[in-house]
Amino acid sequence: MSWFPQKRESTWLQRACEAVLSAGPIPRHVAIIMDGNRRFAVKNSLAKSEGHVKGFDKLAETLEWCLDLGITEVTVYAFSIENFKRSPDEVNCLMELSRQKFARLLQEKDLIHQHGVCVRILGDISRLPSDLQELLAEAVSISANNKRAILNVCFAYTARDDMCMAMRDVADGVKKGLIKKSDISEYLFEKCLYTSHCRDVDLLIRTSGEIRLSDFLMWESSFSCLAFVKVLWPDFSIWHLYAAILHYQRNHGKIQIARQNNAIERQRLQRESDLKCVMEEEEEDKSGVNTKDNPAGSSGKDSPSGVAEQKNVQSRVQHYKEVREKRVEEFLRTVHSKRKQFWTSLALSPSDVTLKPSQSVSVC
Amino acid sequence: MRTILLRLVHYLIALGEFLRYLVLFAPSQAFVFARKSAQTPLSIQSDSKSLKKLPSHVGLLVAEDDFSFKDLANMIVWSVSLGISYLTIYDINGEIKRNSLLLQRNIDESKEHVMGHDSSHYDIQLFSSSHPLVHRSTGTSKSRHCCVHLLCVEDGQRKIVNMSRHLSDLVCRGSYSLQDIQPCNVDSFFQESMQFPDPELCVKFGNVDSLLGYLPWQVRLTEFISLPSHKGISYKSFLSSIVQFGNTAQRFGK
Repeated sequence: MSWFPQKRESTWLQRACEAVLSAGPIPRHVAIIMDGNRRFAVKNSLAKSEGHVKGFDKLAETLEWCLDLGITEVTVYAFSIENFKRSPDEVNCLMELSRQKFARLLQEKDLIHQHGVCVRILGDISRLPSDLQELLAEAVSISANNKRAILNVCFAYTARDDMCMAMRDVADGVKKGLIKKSDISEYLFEKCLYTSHCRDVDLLIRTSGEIRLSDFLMWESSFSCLAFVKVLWPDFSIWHLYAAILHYQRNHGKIQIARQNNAIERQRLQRESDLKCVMEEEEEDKSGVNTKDNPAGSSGKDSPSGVAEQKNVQSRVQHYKEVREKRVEEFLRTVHSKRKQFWTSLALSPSDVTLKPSQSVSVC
Repeated sequence: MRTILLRLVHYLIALGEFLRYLVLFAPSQAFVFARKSAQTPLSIQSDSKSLKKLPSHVGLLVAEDDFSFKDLANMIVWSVSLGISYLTIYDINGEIKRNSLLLQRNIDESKEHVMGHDSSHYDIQLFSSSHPLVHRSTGTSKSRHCCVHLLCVEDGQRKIVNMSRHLSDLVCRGSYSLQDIQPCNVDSFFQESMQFPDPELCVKFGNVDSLLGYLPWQVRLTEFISLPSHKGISYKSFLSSIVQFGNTAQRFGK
């Protein structure tokens, strides 16, 4: 099936529900764990691979429902690093399915642009077969400038792997002197995750009745609404989506308060950290002056009143803040451009597989 | 018009939830009031033996605005009697953390109440980041031991950022290599600094369906079970969530 199925005429009931639902808050970013394809296959006595195909069809359908409702960003958990532990047959089958689907997506270039869909891949794709890497990279590069809707596909992803990658990038930045250790904050850290360009996850849906996150978006879903739906993914219907949005609306107020409080707390901590850094710098300066120059000189010209002193500190903190922000943004630019370069180099490389058998990545 | 309709729908759902609560939870509470001291250490231990799977670390996530320290203390004592070795008690604003002494007093009372003269065999320690070791009761070597960690939002994402700072420091000083920052290594750092394994089960109280910042590194495979409130919780409904945990199978990606 295509990524953009023939638009089915929605019934008057669906249109009515949509209209009523959109009178309340609608999540802007929905994350989905599409669980239950294999159980669906067993239940309907299909082959496992057939279950995965049905799962993909359901994804294409769901994306359309989301767009109709005004959900502009969807993140799906397609393949976890843990999934490499499945039987080689099934892993190969999943890789083949992805190959087909992304090849199909590239054929449907016009439809991508028509729908304005931007596709992003989140995960360590160097673990994937190299031909699939190139397909993914091409899909990312041709859709990069689309703005209307965003589809994030988590491929060879786990949240812990993501956080470790961020820690490596941050540690590397500190080691190279691009940032200071004290610059590491929640803001800096989340801008180093794969989801750095994503909106906050508002609603996380897991199907099949399992009630855990299974290493999916753990940092990002700290303040999201969780909906565990008791239905196998290929059986997921628009009514389940409506129910999940009603659930989101019931939780919206309290989660919003928690988010705001957290944002305020982050700012407070940042101010505290800036002040501490200024104080430390001052301490260093003073001790430097005292040992190098004559200590009498500094005490001679110092006659500021307490108010002036405080003002002085305030302006220094302000100055420090500006310098720090510049430093952090500069660091983030290098991190992001490094990643972008990785993607463009993959997309540009010739798709002739015979040319580079040495590059094929072993699957762990 | 549409707004009114949507509000109506939400009122209906709220009513439905309330009725469900009345049917499912209220009878069991009324029942417990009738025969209050039904659980003895022996009956709890026999319940523990009939469980398919006992979690070693249970998180209690309180997403409610007011707290009943008596009920929290009861749950702690039941958990210890069931044989659970680690508990984390989380509320986003750190209200429980601040009132650790009050909780300690309630635990002592509850212990006395549930276990009677056996209470000295149970060693319950309260930890929180502001008081590394709030209380250490003197337990004999044969006693059952349980660590109770009181957590708030500061112990969530901020701990990951702190870990990132720590690792950056190690890398700068040349005592750790960048390539070694891998999930399994970082996880052992976390276990060392937090002093508990990943929670296998998290019981969430209240009607907010969100983790509200609860341990974003550690909740990888945690099962989440919701209960409407921790206030006046009965042993039966607490046990039912642990039974439910025992009945689920995890596949670890397979």
